Amino acid sequence: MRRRGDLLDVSNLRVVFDTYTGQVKALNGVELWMNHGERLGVVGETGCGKSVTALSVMRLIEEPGRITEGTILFEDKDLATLSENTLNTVRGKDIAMIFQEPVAALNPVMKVGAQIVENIECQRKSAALARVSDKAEPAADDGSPKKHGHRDTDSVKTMRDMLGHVGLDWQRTENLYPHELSGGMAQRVMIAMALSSRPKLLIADEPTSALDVTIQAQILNLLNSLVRETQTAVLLITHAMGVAAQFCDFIAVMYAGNVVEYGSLQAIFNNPLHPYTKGLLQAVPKIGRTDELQSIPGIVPDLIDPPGGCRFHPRCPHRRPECDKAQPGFEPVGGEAEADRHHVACFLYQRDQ
Amino acid sequence: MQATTERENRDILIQANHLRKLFAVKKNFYSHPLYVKAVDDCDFSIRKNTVFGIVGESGSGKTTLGRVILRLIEATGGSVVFDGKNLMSLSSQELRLFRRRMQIISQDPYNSLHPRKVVKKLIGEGLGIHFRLSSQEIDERVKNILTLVGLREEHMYRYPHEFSGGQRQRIAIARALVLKPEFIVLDEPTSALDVSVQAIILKMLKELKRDFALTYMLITHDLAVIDYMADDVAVMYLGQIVELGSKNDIFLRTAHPYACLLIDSVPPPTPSEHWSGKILNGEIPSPIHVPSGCRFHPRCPQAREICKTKEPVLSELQPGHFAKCHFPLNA
Repeated sequence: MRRRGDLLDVSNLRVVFDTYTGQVKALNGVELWMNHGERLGVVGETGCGKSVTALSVMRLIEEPGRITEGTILFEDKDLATLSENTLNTVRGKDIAMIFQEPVAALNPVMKVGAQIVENIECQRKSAALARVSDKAEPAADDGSPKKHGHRDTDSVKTMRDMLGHVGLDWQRTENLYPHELSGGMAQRVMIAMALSSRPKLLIADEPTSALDVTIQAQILNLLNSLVRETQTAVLLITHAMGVAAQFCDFIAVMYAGNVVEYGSLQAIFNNPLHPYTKGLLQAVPKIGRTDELQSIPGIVPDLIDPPGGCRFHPRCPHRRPECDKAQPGFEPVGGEAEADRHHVACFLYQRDQ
Repeated sequence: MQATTERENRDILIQANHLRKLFAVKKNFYSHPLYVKAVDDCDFSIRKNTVFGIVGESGSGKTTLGRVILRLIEATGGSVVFDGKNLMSLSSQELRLFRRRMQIISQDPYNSLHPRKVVKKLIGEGLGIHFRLSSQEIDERVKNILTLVGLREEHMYRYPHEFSGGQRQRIAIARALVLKPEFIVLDEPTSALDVSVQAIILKMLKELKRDFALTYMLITHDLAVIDYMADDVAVMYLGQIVELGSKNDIFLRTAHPYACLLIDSVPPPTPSEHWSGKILNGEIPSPIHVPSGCRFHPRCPQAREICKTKEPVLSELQPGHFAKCHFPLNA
């Protein structure tokens, strides 16, 4: 198959969770890709598989979940099949991640400065290991925290620089514990930690959802300037259309475990094609909006027993007879500008049908 | 300050005067208590059959204000006049008669419903207390209210965990509505919900307000929800109302620098609209040690000398439009 994005190309990704009540088919053939330095927003509602997609890219899906099918090409490696050891040279180094609950994501009994230093040293060590051999056993000292005085001064300097970059005063912050930080400060620390290894891809899973709008604006502004400087690609998971619209270049809309529409920001917002995308955009309240909000009838399906065919068909206003029989292919939309990369998974737009 | 004296008093359902709520906190057992000024000298009035929106960052005292109004938390000072009666002076027995008329729908539909009661019990409990109905009558009313909020009769004997977030919020709405209240405090009614579900719930709340002549006090941090729902808006900062006016006053003729920056922080959900990206620096200060003078001055881009020392008063710029600022914008 043709390679679509030179940084990340996820194709036909399927993830299931085996639970007592049945198998949750969380991802049902996810397709998305991005080039170096691009910003892709993944939007959708609770339970659509946004976060599972992000975790899969980092191969952080834990029992009872597993990846059953699909490829996750990152540069030249397939992360879906890579060994754990090799994977550790990618995680945190080439791909870093920030989370929705920054205070919960930090170690509560470790000063934030020390946590960042630990991360930096860990990256250096694993990079050095990777150079020696792909399958080398991890050294006895696998990056566990050392006493403060023994720290590599280089790492401490990098940590202080990073804290400065995210707008924190290192003298005040480095000796604080996570519970002493506000949500906004903690997210800045997370960003400092994530970007300290100069990753090629930053995965941000709802980075501002737990924050106030004013702090959200600060964090988005900060992320924007930092990743622009370093040309870092960002995979931004969010349910806030405003955040996606103002931050991203490309958008993937997810519904019940599928990417139903993918394209440039303009393509998705100005010319949405999939009935779900249309519904979602019309449901978003907006300051100064005068028309009535439109809602999508019905509820999100149960992913243990999802509807056959297109998973959106029970709620779709444009349902056709073929919709409940087969899953629509994820195909480019004819007539659109090539740069838009507009793809949609819907029978309404399939050319040969 | 008295927004209402000129207006017709019979249009007013709720009038809050100099409302204060301080929470005492102690550093240790021996220390003198310090006070969190959660709500500090708030004056406003809510007109009948309107939606009064309250917006602000977390920690600004929105939720406390909503609870103090209903006397779910006892106020430290001030009064709340509900339909001509001062709620603060009522005994608990007298207050009970008013309880039916004022209801609250809280943010988290996962915690606000008793997990071990079935829907019929959840909704019908208040009916038994306030109306002394027979169990058939309660059944009948619960059935009616369920269909009204878009649920079905067979949901009556299910437990809250069997429902989705949107359905739970419908149950909470049904529980409030079944008592035929006049006034409902909506405390972040859709913050825990997805946008498509939020749209359904907001539309439903609007229709119910029209059909039952309800008055809402809508507490939210989401300015777009305020714009969609509210008639009048109060912007809160550190326990105080800093701007108060009609929706158009707040959004089109914004006067307080805080309100202005708050509105600018919202990323518009369309790429065609340019986001000004004006940033409100810093974070909301501690409500224990509030800044001197104007409480917003440490973060205010327009702050001058006087702002550090002298506290501005909530003054009327245009009829019905108030701002608590020495140098209001668009003035």
